[in-house]
Amino acid sequence: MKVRFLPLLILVSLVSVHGEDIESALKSLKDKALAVNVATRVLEKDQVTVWHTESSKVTISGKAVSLKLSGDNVLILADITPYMNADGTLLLVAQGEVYITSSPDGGVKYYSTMKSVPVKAGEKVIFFPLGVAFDADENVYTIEVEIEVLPYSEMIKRKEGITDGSR
Amino acid sequence: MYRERDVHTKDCPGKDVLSAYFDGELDPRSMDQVSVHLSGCSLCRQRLEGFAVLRKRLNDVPFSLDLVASKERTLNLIEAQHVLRRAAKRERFWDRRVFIPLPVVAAVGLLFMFTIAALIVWEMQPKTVEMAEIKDVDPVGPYDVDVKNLEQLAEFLQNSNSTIEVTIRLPSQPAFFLMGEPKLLRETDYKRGK
Repeated sequence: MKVRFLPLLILVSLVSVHGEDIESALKSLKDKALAVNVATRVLEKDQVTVWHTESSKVTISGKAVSLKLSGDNVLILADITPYMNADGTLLLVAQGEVYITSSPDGGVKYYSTMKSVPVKAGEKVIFFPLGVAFDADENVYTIEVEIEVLPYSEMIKRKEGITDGSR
Repeated sequence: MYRERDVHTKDCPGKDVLSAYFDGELDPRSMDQVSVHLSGCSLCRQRLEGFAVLRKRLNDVPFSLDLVASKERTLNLIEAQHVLRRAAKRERFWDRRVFIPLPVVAAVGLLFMFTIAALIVWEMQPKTVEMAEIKDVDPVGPYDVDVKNLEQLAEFLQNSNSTIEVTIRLPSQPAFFLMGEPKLLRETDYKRGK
């Protein structure tokens, strides 16, 4: 049976637990939690961003964050799974499925891929689910998914730093 | 010596010359020549007598000339023709002449050229999709989980069936195309590659 966790509920909680064992368990989970920041962009020629959205999720090592990008003629399903090594480095695995209709007859093409890349915490990785055109012509748009994985504790520090800076 | 002629010859003066002679409008030399001819040409003399008879008849006709009435009729006639002509012109719109000042013509021309230039520039602009920026940042806690011990926590985690999913709606335009194999690159490698 596949065990599903709900770390985001735990890691960021002010839980009303009783007992030191619970608190220590939560602290342990919180220390191992990872924040996955996802910035999705649509770029036109010369890498000009014409559309942009951001999202942030909390997970733990080995648990994927599912990303679903749906457009009129494209559906992209991507599972981004961070694996934390003992030395603190990360292995980021992106499993992608692409359904795309590009022909006038409406036929659907399906592609699947799995890519992995070792990264450091906070290092940004870019996923191109439809490939990348370095010398794109006009009217050719690239979907770029920027992924950043960092420990949840650092994420909290970063947010607190932003908050302090804004005061 | 002249011999009487009973038919006109090429030497006979024409009707116009005879008429002018009858009215005394010829120069003296021509008058003499015609007189000499008449003395020897009975036909021309008869013709000349015919002029005299005609003049006498005309003089005998009672002639009353009402210049004022005639002038009035003539003016009325001219006016009527003028009105008719103007009416005919008014019916033909394309024949009408409209006066447009030169600055107005120049301004309209410039405006037209500017409009055409603007349309051309607008057409040459790359078509861009609508700009949008949607921030779907998941709020970070707090979540209230009421567990009292580790067993309850483990049970809660195991029974939880939620997934961490981010759903993003892409813009309806443009249409996207597959440009190649999906790629996963470090940002630094990607920028270096570019």
